[in-house]
Amino acid sequence: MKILYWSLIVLMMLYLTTGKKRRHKGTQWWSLAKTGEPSNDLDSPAAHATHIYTSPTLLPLTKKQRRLVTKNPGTIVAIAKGARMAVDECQYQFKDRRWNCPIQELGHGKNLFGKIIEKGCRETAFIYAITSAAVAHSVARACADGSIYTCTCNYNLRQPNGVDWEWGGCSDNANFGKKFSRKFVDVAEKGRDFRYMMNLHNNEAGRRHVKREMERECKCHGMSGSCTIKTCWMRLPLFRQVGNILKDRFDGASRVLPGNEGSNDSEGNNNGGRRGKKKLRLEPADPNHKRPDKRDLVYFEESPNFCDKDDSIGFLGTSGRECNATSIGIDGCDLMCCGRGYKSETYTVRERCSCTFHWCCEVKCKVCTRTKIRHTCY
Amino acid sequence: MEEDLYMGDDFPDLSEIDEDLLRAYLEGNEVSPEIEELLKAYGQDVPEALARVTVKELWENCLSPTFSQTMENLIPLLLLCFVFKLVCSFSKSGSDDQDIPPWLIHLSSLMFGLLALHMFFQRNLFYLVLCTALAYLVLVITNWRNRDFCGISLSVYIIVYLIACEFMMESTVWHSIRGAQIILSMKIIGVAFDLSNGSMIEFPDIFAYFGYNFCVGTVIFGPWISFTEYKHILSQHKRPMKIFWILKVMFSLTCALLCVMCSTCIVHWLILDNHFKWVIAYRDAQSFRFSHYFISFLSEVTVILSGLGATHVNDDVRWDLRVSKPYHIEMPRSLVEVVTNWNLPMHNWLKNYIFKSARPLGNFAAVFLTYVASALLHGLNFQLAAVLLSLGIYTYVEFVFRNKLSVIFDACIKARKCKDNCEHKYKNKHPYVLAANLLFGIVGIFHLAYLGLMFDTGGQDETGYSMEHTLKKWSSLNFLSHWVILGTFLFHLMI
Repeated sequence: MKILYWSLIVLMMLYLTTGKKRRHKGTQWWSLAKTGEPSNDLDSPAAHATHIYTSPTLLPLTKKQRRLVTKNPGTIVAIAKGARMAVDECQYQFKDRRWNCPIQELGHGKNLFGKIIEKGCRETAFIYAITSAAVAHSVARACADGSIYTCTCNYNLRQPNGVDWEWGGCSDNANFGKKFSRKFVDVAEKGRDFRYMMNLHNNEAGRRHVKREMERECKCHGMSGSCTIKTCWMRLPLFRQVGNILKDRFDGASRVLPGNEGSNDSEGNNNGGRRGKKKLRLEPADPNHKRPDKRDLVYFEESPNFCDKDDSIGFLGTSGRECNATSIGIDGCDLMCCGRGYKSETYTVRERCSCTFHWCCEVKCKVCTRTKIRHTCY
Repeated sequence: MEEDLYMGDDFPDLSEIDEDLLRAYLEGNEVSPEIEELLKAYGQDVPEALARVTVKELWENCLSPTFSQTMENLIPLLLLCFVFKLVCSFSKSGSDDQDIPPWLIHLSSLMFGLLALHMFFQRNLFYLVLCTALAYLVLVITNWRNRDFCGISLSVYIIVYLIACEFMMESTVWHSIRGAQIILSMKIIGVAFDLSNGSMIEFPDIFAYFGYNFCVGTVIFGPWISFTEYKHILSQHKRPMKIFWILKVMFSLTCALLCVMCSTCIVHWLILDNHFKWVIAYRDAQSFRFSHYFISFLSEVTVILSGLGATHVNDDVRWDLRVSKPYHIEMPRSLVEVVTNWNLPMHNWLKNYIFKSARPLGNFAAVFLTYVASALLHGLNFQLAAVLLSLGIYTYVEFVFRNKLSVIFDACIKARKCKDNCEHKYKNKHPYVLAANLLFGIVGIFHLAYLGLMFDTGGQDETGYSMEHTLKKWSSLNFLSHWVILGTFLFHLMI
C-alpha cells in the first residue's frame, strides 16, 4: 500500500514537472535550428518524409504558430534559418565568456538553450532578443527574395533620411519580417506575469534593432565619378551587425522590477478597446537609473557566476574550457576558470611560414613546425 | 501600430483559417512543398546574395526608388532651366527701347544658376562663387598688365585653387562639388585663352562673366559651352521652342533615365557577383560608364532646355549638341575613339585650348600635356590621375601601333576611321579589315573594363577613392592590361 502511495506521489510530481515544461512550449521552435543535422532516430528518407509532422524535431510549433506558418507558405524555411542564425550568432558573441551559449541535446521537451530560459537574467534576455531578431531578419530576407507569397509591397513608409534624400521604395520587407516575428514569436508568451512582460520586451527590442539598422545603399552620379547626385535604396543589415548591437545592449542591460500595475499608460497613448487589460510597467531596479527604452534589454534576476556545473540552468561550468593566459579580460584564465587554476599543455602544429613574394605573382612558403601552448581550466 | 506591442492584440484572426486544410497539412501523408524546400535548403547552402531577384522585385526595390529619386532631384532643375529660357525668350519684344538690358539678363542667369547650385550643394556653393570671383580679379589684373598672359595665369590660378580644395576641403564636400568645379574651371580658362589669343576682343564685363560661369543650363552637370555660345541667351527669339527642341529634350531625358537605371540596377542584376573576375570588372566598369552617360544626357537636357547648344544653318536652328556617344564607347573601334566620344565638349575644349596652345612644344609633348591638364582638371586624386594617364599612354601606343600596321598591310585599320576615299588598298568594308577592327574593339573593351573597374559602388564613392583602393583593384587583375599595352608597344618597336 505504501508503495502504491509513493508511486502516486512520484507520478504526480512527474506530471507537475512536465506541466511546468509545457510553459515553454512556445519557444520550442528554436529547435528548428537543428533541422537538417544528421540524426539517428530516422531510419530512411522515406520515414523522414512521413513522420515529418509528428516528429518533434521538425515541427515543434504551437497550434497558433502552425496556423501562422500554414497561412504564410514559405515562412517555415525562413524560421528554421533564423533559428540557426540566432544560435550561431549567440555562440559567436559569447565565445569568450563563461556562459558561451551552449546548446542542449534535444528530446523530451527540453529547450534548445536549456533551462536558462526559465531564469530572468541577462543571458535569458539576450536569447529572447536574438531569436526574435533572427526571425524578423530571416523572414524579411525571404520576403525580399520573393519566397514568401503573402508578403506584398506597399509604399507606406517614407522616411526622410537627411535633407537630400527620401526613401520612396518598398519598405515592406522589413515591416513584414517584424510583424511576422511579432506574431510568431510573441504568441509563446502567454500569461500575465512579470516574466512574460520581460520576454515580450526583449523580443521586441531584438526586432527593433533589425528594422533600425536597415541600411541604405547609395550610388553617386556626377562628372567623372564625382557625387553631384545620389540615388539610394534599402538593404537589410548583416545579421552580425544586429548581433553586435544586441551584445552591446546586453552589456548595458537594465535590471527591472515590476512596477505598480499602472492603470494608465504613462506614454499616454489612449488606445481604446484594449479589453480593459492593465499594462504592467517595467521599473528600473535602481530608481536613479533611467527607465529602459524599447530597444534596451531588461532582466530581473542577477546572472549566476557560471563557474561550476549548475543543473538548475543546465550549464556544465567552465571546467575544460580553453582560456587565454595573457588576457586580463573575461576570456583570460583568471576569470574564466574562476580562480581554480588551469593546466597548460604544449602541442605542435605545422604551418606555413617565412613566405616570400616572387615576381609575378606567386607566394612561396616554407613549412615550419611550431610549438604552441593550450590552456584549459580545471 | 508601433505602440501596442505588449498586448499582442494584432494576432491574426485565426478563425479565418481553413481548418480542413490545416488538418490535412498536419496529418496528411503527402509532404507539402515548403517542407521539401526546407529539407532541400539544408542540403545545399546557396549564399542568399547570389540569387537573382524577380523583375517585379527589382522594380520595387531598385528601379522605382531610383527613378523617383532622380526625378525628385531633377524636376526643380529642369523647371529652372525652362523658366530661364522663357525669361530670355521674352526679353526681346520687338522694339529696341522696350528690351530688357543685357546686364539684367546676365544677372538673371546668375540668379537662376545660384538657385540651382543651392538646390544641389546648399552652402557649399560658396566655394564655387569664391573661385569665380577670385578668377575675375586675376583676369582683370592680368588683362591690365599684359593681355597675352591671361591664359597662362588663369591656368596657374585654377591649378592652385584645385590643389587647395583637394587638400583643405572636407573630402565629402569636395567630392560632391567637384563635377561643377570642373565645368567652372573649363569656362574660366576658356575665356582667358580666348582673351590671350585674340579670339575675344572685348573684355567681358562682370555681369556677362558671372552669368556665363553660373548659367543654369550648364552649372550643375555641364556641358562646357563657349562664351560665344552663351551669348545666345541675348538672342533667344531666334531660337524658338519648336517641335525639334521638344523632341531633343524628351529624347535626351529618356536616355538619361534609362542610363541611370541601367547603372544602378540592371547591370548588377544581369551579372551577379559569382562570375569570373573579368566579367565582374566589366560589369563594374559598365555601371560607371552608364552613370557617365546619364550625366551626359542630363547635361544635354539642361543646356538645350535653357536654349543653348544649337547651331545655326542659314535660318535653321539645329539642336544637335551631343555630349557623349554611348554607341562608340560600348562598341569602340579604338581607345582613341572612346576618349574622343567620352565627353565631346570637353574633348573640344582640350583640343582648342590645351593641345593647340601646347602644339609649339611638339606633338608628343602636346598630347602628354593635354592628358595632364585633363587629369589636373579632374582633381588631384590618385585614382583619376592613374586612369587618365594610363589612357594617355594606351591611346598613344594604340595610335602608333595601328598606324604602323595600316601602313604594313595597306588597310584601313588605323585608330581613327578612314574616309571612304582613302588610299588604302583594303577599304573599310573588306572582311579582313572588319575582323581586325572588331578584334581591336574587343581589346578596347577589355582595357575599358580594367580601367573603369575601380569606380564601383564601394563605401568610398562619397569621399573619393584612395590610392590603395586603385592598386588593390588592379593587382587583383594582375595588372594585365598594363602588361598587354607594354607588350604591344614592344611589338610595335620590333616590327
